[in-house]
Amino acid sequence: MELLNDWFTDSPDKVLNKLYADNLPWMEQYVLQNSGSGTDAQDLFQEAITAAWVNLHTGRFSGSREQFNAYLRQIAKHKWLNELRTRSRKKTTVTDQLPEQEAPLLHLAENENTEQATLLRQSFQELGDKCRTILGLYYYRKKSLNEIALELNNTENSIKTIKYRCMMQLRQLFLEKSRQHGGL
Amino acid sequence: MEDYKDHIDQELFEQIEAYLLDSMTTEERSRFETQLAADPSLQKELELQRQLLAIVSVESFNAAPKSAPIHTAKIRSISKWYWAAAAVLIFISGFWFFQNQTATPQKLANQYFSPDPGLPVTMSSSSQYQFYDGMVSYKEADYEKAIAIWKSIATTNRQSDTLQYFIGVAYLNRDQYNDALQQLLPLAEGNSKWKEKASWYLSLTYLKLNQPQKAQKWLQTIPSYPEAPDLLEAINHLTGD
Repeated sequence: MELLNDWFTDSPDKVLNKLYADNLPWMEQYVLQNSGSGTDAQDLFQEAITAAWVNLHTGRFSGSREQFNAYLRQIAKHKWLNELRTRSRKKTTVTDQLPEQEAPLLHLAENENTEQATLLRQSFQELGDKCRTILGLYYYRKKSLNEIALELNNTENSIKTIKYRCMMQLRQLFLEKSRQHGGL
Repeated sequence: MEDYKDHIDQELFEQIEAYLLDSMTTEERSRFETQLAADPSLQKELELQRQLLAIVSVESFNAAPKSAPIHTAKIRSISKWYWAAAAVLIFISGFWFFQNQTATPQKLANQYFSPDPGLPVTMSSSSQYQFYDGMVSYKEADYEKAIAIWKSIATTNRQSDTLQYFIGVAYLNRDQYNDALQQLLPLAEGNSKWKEKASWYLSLTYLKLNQPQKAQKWLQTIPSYPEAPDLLEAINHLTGD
C-alpha cells in the first residue's frame, strides 16, 4: 500500500501527464516500427492508459511508477498486436508478423481485463457535455465546488447535485453495458 | 449483477466519494470501515465507484489537448497537430534563446538562489520552543507565520544573531527585499557565525533589487563560499567589469 499511496498524493492531472510524457515516445517508436502511424500511437496510448489506470485504481495492478510504465507498455503491445491481427484479417495483404517471443507476454496481458475499461470508456463518452465538464473539473482538475460554481455561473449546491446525478448516470450506463456483456 | 442496487442516494454516494478521495476525518473513516466490513454490498459498491472515478479522471485526460512530448521516433504520418505543436516549440525555444541573451541581475539572482533549508527541529528546552515552532513553519514554507512567531520573541528578548538571520532569509523568501536587507546587513557587517551566509543572501537580495555593484562588493568578502566566485564572475560579465 505504501507504493500505492505515492500514486494518489499527486493530482490525477499531474500523474497522467507525466505518464504521457514518459511513455508516448516509446509507444510511437513501437507503433511506427510495426506498421502503424503517429495517430495510431496516440489512439493506442489512450486505450492502454485507460485500461492500466482503471486496473491501478481497482488494485488489479500494484507497484511502483517504474513498474507501472512497464505494465502500461505491455498492455499497449498486446493491444497493438491485436489491432494488427484485425487489420491483417481485413486486408489479406498484410502478413501476420507477430514475433515468437511475444507469446508469453500476450498470455500475461490477456488476464488484464481490458474489456471492462472499454465499457467504462464508452459509458463516459455517452454522458452529456455538461456532465463530462463538471466531472472532469471536479475529479480530474481537482477544482473545488465553489470554483466550478463560479466558472459555470451556478451555485455550489446545485453543482454538488448535478455532480451526483452525473455519477449516477455514468453508473447506470456502465451497469447496463456490463449486463449486456455477461456481467462484471 | 443482482448485487448492485438500482439506485444509491446522494448521502451514501458522498460518503463513498469522501472515502475514496481521502477527505474523511479519522473518526469518519473508521466508522465507515466498520460499516464496510459488515456489508458486502457496500464493498461491491465501493469497488464500482472506484472504477467510475478512475474512468472520469483518465477520460478527462484523454479528452484534454496535449503538447507532444519530445521524441526521437520517425513519424511517417504527421497530423496537423504535430505541425502546430512544432511551431509552438520553435516559437518558445526562440523566445527562450532571446531571453537568455538578455541576462539581468534579477535573472542571475533567481539562477543562484535557493532558500536556506533552515535548522533541524529538535526537542529542546522551553525557552527555545518558540524558535523551533517558527522553524517548523519556515520548513513548511509558511514564511509569513515563521516571521510572525520569530518577531514575537525578538521583541521580548534580546534578539539573537540566529533569530535575526532566519527572519532575514524568511523575508527574502517572501520577496520582501528591504525587510531582508535590514536583518541581513548588520549580520554581514558584524562578526557572528552567520556572517558568511548573511553576506551570500545579502548579495542575492541586492541582485534582486537590481543593485549589482553592491552584490559584487559583498561577494568579494566571501571568496570561500561555494558559489560566490561563480556568481561574482557572472555579475562582472554582466556589468562589463
